[in-house]
This record gives sequence, structure tokens and C-alpha cells, in this order.
Amino acid sequence: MIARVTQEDLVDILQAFEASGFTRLELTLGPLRVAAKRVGAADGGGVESLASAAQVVAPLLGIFQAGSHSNAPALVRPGTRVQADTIIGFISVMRKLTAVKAGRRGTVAQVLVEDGQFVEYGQTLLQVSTQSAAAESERPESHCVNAR
Amino acid sequence: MSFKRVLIANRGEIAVRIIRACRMLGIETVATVSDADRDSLPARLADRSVCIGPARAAASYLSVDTVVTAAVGCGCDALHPGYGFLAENAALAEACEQAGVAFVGPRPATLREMGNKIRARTLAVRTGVPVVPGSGDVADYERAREVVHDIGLPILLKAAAGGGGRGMQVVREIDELRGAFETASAEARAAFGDGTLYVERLISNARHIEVQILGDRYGKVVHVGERDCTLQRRHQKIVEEGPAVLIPDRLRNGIRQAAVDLALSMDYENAGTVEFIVDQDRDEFFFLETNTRIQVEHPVTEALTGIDLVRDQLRIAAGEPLAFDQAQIRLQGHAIECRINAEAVYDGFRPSPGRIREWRPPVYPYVRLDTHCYPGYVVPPFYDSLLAKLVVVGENRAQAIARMQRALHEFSVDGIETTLPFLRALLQRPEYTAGAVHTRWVEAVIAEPDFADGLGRRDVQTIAARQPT
Repeated sequence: MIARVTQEDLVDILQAFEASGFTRLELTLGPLRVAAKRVGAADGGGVESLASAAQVVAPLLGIFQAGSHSNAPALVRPGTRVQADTIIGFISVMRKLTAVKAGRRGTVAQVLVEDGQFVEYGQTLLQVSTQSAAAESERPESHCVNAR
Repeated sequence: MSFKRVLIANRGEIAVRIIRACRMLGIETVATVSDADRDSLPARLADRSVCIGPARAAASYLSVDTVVTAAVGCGCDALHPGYGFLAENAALAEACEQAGVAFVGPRPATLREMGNKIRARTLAVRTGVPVVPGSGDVADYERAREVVHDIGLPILLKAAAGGGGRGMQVVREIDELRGAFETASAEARAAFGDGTLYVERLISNARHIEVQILGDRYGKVVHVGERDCTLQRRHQKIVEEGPAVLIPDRLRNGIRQAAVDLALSMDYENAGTVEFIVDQDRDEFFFLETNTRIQVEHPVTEALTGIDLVRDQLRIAAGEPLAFDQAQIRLQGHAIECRINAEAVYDGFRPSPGRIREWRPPVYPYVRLDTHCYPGYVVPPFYDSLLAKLVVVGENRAQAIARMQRALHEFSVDGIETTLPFLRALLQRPEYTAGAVHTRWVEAVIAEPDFADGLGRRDVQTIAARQPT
């Protein structure tokens, strides 16, 4: 028989999971069911494939330019299909432009910066979803269900 | 008028120092950090930090376009370059000017003039400031003999067309001159296609003395005393102190005046340092160069005068006039600074980056510590090895030395190798306490087999013995 699981027990379990290096946890303790997944963990060959969104980051500090010239429409928007060498925008530093490429194949999920915005080195510009749309329903986050 | 927000285009202890000066003036700060410095102390202390590029300095701290874009992008009205990196870069000062950002330093023209050694020397000569006696081009032995007759021995023969030690010969006796001249000339011809030489007096018993100056936009220049930086290794200063009590008063006053004359002659604006070499055998001084920036060892001057040099840099750059006259500047007591580097001295001063496990500096009312380090900080392998500057003041030199010796012994660092054991040993030497040193003394001490042997290894063994297995 299993004694009642306290909140402290639950914290201990989740901490042990976090330290373990495993990416998924499913645990049933009597009436309690706990399911957790490490945020951002790449799920290699699991039971089901989860969506993974790759980040495209600024390769240098400067001003983000979304179009091919200052008044041109944005090169990509949510839903745009991209290849690894698709140019998604430019970084302008003292009027010198550096093209930013998507770096992977997929679909633009979210654009996080606006045209003309100052961006730091390494700042996330947009997210590219690299999995099929079918897997996108399940979001990679940790959750805990009390199934009593 | 004062600045609202300053971009700090530097890292490490000087970035911390500038943030503190800004804070005291009520100015907001933006720290620029490379990818390797995202978690650094300046990043945490500043109102905002902005990542300017990868760890490699060439793509981050050394990129003029990037730091100017960062200043504009973060809404800064001024940029402080610190020392090193782009501090004396005229192109940065110009780019700032064009972007409408005040550069905290001298005007671009001054940076350009003083950055060129030959032009700086010419300006010194024109101002009546003595330079190391030497010749113009010397094409043959007969002419070399005449020059030696004028400036005396020993001398250095150098290739007029190049550098890097090739075509360089030391001549101590007159009968060595012909052989040395022919050798140097042949080497110069082989290396540079031109056998022309020039002759310079060799100062073997030299002291390095430098004068801190401040100038405002309205033509006022003051000196803030001098520092003695004779303890060097490979032209890197190790220990600095002030005032220069080990040279005659007449020389010290002459050096101070020469520094002010030179600064006035170029309408010097902001903080700067005029460096001199003192020939201890002849009691003469000569101009070396002008450093157009705040220097690493500026706390020595601050400890002696109570003047906050970084604060005054910011005020001058904002167009304020100097708030004091020469007569109001008083030097009190004696100050010494030791540079503590992450280096294994017993292993040829090998850099020693890594995690600082223990960091326990001495705490006394007469101690100042400028640092960006703390327990747990990881010293990155990409930049220079300076960890901290330990500064003490005393009523006189003897008291300051005793205090520095105690402070060094109490300073405890674990996890990485530091130059602390080296500094402790160096400051115990009777030559140092007596002041009987010259600019190559430290290298001579390091070369002694007994000296280097006792350093660090024991500390390493102690650390290893303490580690749990």
C-alpha cells in the first residue's frame, strides 16, 4: 500500500527527475498520476514524437531588417516554409547588412522581433518548427495531473 | 549638463569601476558583454547589459561598429572605453562623434597624434621636453662615431627601416663600435633591404615614472602627481606606487612640469598619462609616450589625492570645466598597487583560467580592492589575466610597504593559480624596500633559480592535499 503523497514528496520526485538526465517521466502512485517532460528536451525515438521548435538567433548585434530593403515587405511570416539557406532577414550595423539564414528546414512558427528593432548578439529572432503539423498539438511542458 | 546613460565598452574590473563612478553621478549604465561574460559582475551591476558578440574579442570588444551601434541602440548619450581594447582608437572616437554619442576620452586628433610614436616624439622636442638622446639616420661608421661622441656610451644601434630586434646591437665600449655597427648594418640590410641605422642612448639603470594629467575643454590642464611603475615584466607593470619619492625633488618637479607643458601644447582634453624614463646614473629624464586613456594604475593617484579620476573623466566629457586648480591638489601619504593576475608564476607565468573556489581579500581601512571577481566566478580563458588590483595607503613608503606585505599575506584565493605568491616574495626583497631597482630588475629576480623554485608549487601541493579523494 502506498501512503498519501504529500506536496513535499512531489517536489522531491520532480527534483530527482530533473537531476536524472531523463527527458520524460510517467509515474502512477495509487490514485495519483504524474507526467513530466523536460522543457526544450529533444525527444529522440520516444513513443510519440513531439514538436520541436528551433530558434534562429542573431549572429551579431545590430538593427533587424525584416525585408530585403528598408521599406520592403518582410521576407518571412508565421507559416512561411523555409529551407536551411532561406534568408529570413538582415542585421544592419553601421549601414552594413548581414543576411541571416534559417539554418534548418521547417515552418516559421513565430517571429519575435520587429523590423527596425535593435537586437543583441544571440537574441532569438524567430522560431522554426521542424516537425510535422500533426505532432504540434502536444506542447513540450511539464504538467502534473491529479487523477483522483 | 550631465549624461543620462553611459555605455561601458569594456569588461572586467574597469567596467565595474566605471559603473560605480556613473552610479555616484546618478548616470544609468549599460554594460557590453561578450557571450563569455554574460554572467559577469559588470553585467549584474549595470542597469542593463547588452551582448555584443561571441567570446572572441575581435568580434565583440574590439569591434568599433558593434559598440557604437550598441550605444545608439540602447539610447546612450556617452561611451566610456576603459583601457585596452578600443580605448585609444581614434576611429571609435570619430564614429561616436558622428553617431552623436560623447566619447569619454581625448579628441580623435589627440588619439591619432599620440598613437604615432614619431609624431609624439616630434611634438615633445618642439615643446622643449627632453627625449632619449639619439641620432637621425646613420649611414656609416664614421658618422656613428661622431654621434657616440655627442651622446656618450652605452648606446643602442637600431635598424632605421624596421623593428623586432633585428639589426639591434648594444655597444658599451668604444672599441666594440666598429664590429657592432657592421653586424647591425648587415643584419638590417638582410632583413629590411636597407643598412641604415640610428643610434640611441641605452639607459640601463632606468626608472619608469609617469604623470597623471587632467585637461578640460577650456584649455585648463593640471597634473595629479606621478606614479613610479619601475617594477615590470616584459613591459607589463606589476607594482605601481606614488609619489615618486625615490628620485630627487628637482627631477620630480621637472617631470611634472614637462607633462603639463606637453598636455597644454596639444590642448589635451580628459584624463591622460605622460610616461617618462629616468636615467638613475645621470639623474636625467626623457619623454617616452602619452597614454590617452584612464590607466590600470589610476587608483594609486586616487588614493593619494582623493580625486575620483573616472568621475572627472565623465564630467569633462560632458563639457564641464575642471572643478579644481593645481594648488588645490594635495598628495598625501604613500600608495602602492599590486596587480593580481591569474597566472602560474612557477610555470613561466602560464595563464590560469578556471573557477575561483575561494576568494578572501584582506579587509582594512587602508586597503582598496578593484576587482570583478567573487567566489564561484569562472575566469574565462579569452581575455587578459588581471583579477584584481590591491591598493594600500600609508603615511610614508615604509608604512605602505608593511601594510601591503600584510595585505598580500592575508589575501587567499583557491581554485586557480594567481601571482599572489610571486608578489609576496617580490615585496620582501631588500632591493625593493630600499628602492634599489630598475626597469629590468624584476626579470633579473625571476631568472634567479632559487626565486622561481619556491613559488606556487608548495601552494599547489597544499591545495591537492586538501582535496577530498
